[in-house]
Amino acid sequence: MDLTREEEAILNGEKGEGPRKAMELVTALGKIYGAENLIDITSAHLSGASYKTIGDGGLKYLEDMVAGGARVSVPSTLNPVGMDRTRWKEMHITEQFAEKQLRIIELYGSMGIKTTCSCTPYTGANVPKLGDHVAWAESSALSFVNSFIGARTNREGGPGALAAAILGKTANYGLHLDEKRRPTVVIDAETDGSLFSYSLLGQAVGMAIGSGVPYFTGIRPGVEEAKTLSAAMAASGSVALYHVEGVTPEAGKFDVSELERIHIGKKELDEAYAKLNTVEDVQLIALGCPHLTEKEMHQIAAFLKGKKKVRDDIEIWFCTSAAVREKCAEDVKVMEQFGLVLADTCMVVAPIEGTFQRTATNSAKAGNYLPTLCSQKVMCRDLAALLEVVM
Amino acid sequence: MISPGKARGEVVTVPEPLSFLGGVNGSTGEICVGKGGNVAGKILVFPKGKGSTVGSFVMYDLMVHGKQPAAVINEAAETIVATGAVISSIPMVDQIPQTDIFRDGDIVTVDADAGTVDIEGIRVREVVSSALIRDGRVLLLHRPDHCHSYPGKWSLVAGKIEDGETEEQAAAREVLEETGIKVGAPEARLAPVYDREGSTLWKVHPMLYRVDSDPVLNPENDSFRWAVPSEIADAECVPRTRDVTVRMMQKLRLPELPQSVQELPAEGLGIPVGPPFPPSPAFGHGPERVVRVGEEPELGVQAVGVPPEVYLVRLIGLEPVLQAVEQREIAVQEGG
Repeated sequence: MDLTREEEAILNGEKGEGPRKAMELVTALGKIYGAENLIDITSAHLSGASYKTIGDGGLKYLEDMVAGGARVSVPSTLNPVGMDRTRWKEMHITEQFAEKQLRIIELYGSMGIKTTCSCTPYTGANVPKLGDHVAWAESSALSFVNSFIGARTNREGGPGALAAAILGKTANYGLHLDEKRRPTVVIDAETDGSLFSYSLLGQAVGMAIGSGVPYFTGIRPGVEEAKTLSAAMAASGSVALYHVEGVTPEAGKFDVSELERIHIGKKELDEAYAKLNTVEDVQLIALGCPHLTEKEMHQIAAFLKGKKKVRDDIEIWFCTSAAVREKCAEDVKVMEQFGLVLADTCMVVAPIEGTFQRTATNSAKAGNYLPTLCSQKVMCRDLAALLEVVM
Repeated sequence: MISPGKARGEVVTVPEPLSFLGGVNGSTGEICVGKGGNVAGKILVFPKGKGSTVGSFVMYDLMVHGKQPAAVINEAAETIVATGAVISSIPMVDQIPQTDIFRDGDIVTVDADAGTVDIEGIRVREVVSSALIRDGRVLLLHRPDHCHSYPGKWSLVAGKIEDGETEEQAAAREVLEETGIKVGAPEARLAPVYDREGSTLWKVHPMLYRVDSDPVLNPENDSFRWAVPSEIADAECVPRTRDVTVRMMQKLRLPELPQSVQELPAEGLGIPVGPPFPPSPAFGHGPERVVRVGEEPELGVQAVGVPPEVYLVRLIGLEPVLQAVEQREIAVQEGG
């Protein structure tokens, strides 16, 4: 890899041990993926914040980083953590877990990272522009900014994104390069256009292609649909970038006439549905994967207004960011009649396995991770159908 | 080099892709999968990482507890293990061809800065193995039941490289000796495949020739048949026969290939490797071919030192090849 003299100096430790380790990591990763050089980034989004997932090893790593004087040099936001910062007791979280989780948040904050604790920073806290090179971890968010905004990032890992944020640089490979952003397959989608159909579509596409850069025809996603699709494809497959004909900013650049075409219609969506549903009765309905937007909060509150929750044996969690929860105070009042409106966390990175075994969601991403990370059996239906269960 | 440093120690192997999350206990170093073992202070060898990025923090945890491996050797580095090695300051090399050539207990020196791995006490023996193709079928020779190795199995045309011969000369000679067929230059070759048998590391050079006649056998083999490569049953053959044949045929993209061959995946290294074809002593005498120190190394393996002293084999990390890394395996990071 070609490093500038300044980059070499950092690698040699001339700017301190912290930057040296960060440069060591970024260059090691660059080497694996054939990067020719490093590029400057304008922002970072970091994962690896939940105590449930990073554990004592991760906590120690952050302690050591902070002790070494690590600070980020570009605006950086943080992924959800294992609990609501203020309402963790209502989530059946223990004191020990809470103490360590709060310490993790504190450590990230002391590095200059905005502890937004949300997977949807692109809705306000961290909004890149078309063409911006960034270093984002969190597969749903990076896919959204790559695809819907046209920013450029690879699927960074937690420590790698942190190292990039400290340096303000990442390795120039993969989706930072024009040629890697070209579509590899066309998906002719036939759906009913509902929000839930985007979960199923993403699941089906992930199952069909695994990785690659799909180019969609036949859909017109708005923000909520795009975030759902991004999350689903990143979880059931490993898609980090996609294009939507007539919608996404880069789609118009490509001639897809020579590409393989895959049709996703009722049959494939039904198969996706079957894959995501393994249980018929549930203990928890968990919504907001990715985090609910303001629009979704309004929609849910409107749907619930005037209705009554009958099933006391089923808990409901509405997961969103602290910022959205604060903005939607009126909606929260309605929703709190039915369940908890939680900020900073989600059903995947919170330790729900201690309390629940069967969980429902309308998110294909959650549908993929709940069984593996939380030992849950899962029901995956559209939002209205789920809420109607409790009424 | 993935992560700098040098270390010498005893090998512990994990034959499958390894997820540190779930696969290794961060406090004790215990390996929780397969045949178990402990990584602390060992040279940890496995093909590649998989699973959650939290695995990087498990590696850090090992370092915090003083139970980290002395070095890591992979065939192909991916983000999780590379990240873990770097943040935990564990020397790591990759691009080592075939981690299945290592055995638990091997004494090995890893020099991550140079990208080399030295294995003590083993020597390299070089053989050629030729696929003869006729009308889309490959010639399989049947080894008699009294053979030292793979009795009763089917194989390609194989034999040891004699002193002073090139691989292609050896292959042509073996083909002539075992089948009576004269061949020129091979139409396809593969990078060497390796197999470890005790203190010997077999380095097998696969070649492919197109021929148009039946063989006339010598006593080394007692029968022959022409097989459609996709229909070769692994169990009845010397390991890797089908895999190596198919890969060479796909390199040629022969239009007359039966459709079944063209549909087979190009990569096919899933077949476990056993000892290939040590030639019987009756054919080929003289010292095994040893690549001398200072000679331009071929892909990956160089024998350092000359027999009959204790051997040392140096594996040289190849230039990183862009891997189609399955990123899904990487990024199950807490929903990230």
